[in-house]
Amino acid sequence: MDTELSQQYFDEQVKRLHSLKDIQEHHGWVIDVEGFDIFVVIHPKKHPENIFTVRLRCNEFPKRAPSLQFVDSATKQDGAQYWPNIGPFQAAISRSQSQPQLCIPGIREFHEGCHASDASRPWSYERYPLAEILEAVQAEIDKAFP
Amino acid sequence: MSASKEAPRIEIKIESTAGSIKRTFNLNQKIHAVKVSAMAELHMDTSAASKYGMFIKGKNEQLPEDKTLEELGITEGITLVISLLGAEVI
Repeated sequence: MDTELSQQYFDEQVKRLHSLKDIQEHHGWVIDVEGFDIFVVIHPKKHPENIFTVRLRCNEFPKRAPSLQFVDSATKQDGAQYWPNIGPFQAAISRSQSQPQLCIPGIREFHEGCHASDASRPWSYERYPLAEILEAVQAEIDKAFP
Repeated sequence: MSASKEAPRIEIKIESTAGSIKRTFNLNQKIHAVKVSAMAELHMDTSAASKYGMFIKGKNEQLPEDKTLEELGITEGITLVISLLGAEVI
């Protein structure tokens, strides 16, 4: 798939994400898009002092699922030290020696990593919209910081 | 013969990751019924309704599903959010 077509699919998904103003406000998300990267500042609802930044890297979208990593909010560098070290996020860090792999459907680390041979949950951008992926992460962060 | 009095209706906006709707509901409708009805309208899988909760936008507490809009003080113009309660972590 050429970059132009990939950009069209990506832009459509970003437009859809931006249109969900009430969901964004409800969760307190701050969304920034740079190229094929979407950065979302996210925090547990009951602990707004714990701020994390999620990066959804959507290169080769929609052929490949977005890659999900937590990054430093200032430098945008990724690394295990920027992940919440609790619950499924802790498991994601210990799962891989290279980059953390959160095992939730809809992200590259699931479909090409820990569940690459799982044919029951194939990647599809229509099945796993960006907002749903982010909401799944938000739900787990809220559970991790009760 | 007197007709039974229908509960007042209010217009509310409901948003989920699938989109948003604005429609009127009877004040005596329970939250669960409102949620499932909105999910159907938003083309969400209603068989997975238990995986989602309903919230007043910006509030942390999930609305109890056995209470009515009236009992919870939901008024015209309030925005409700249907939100995932947990990820499918495998």
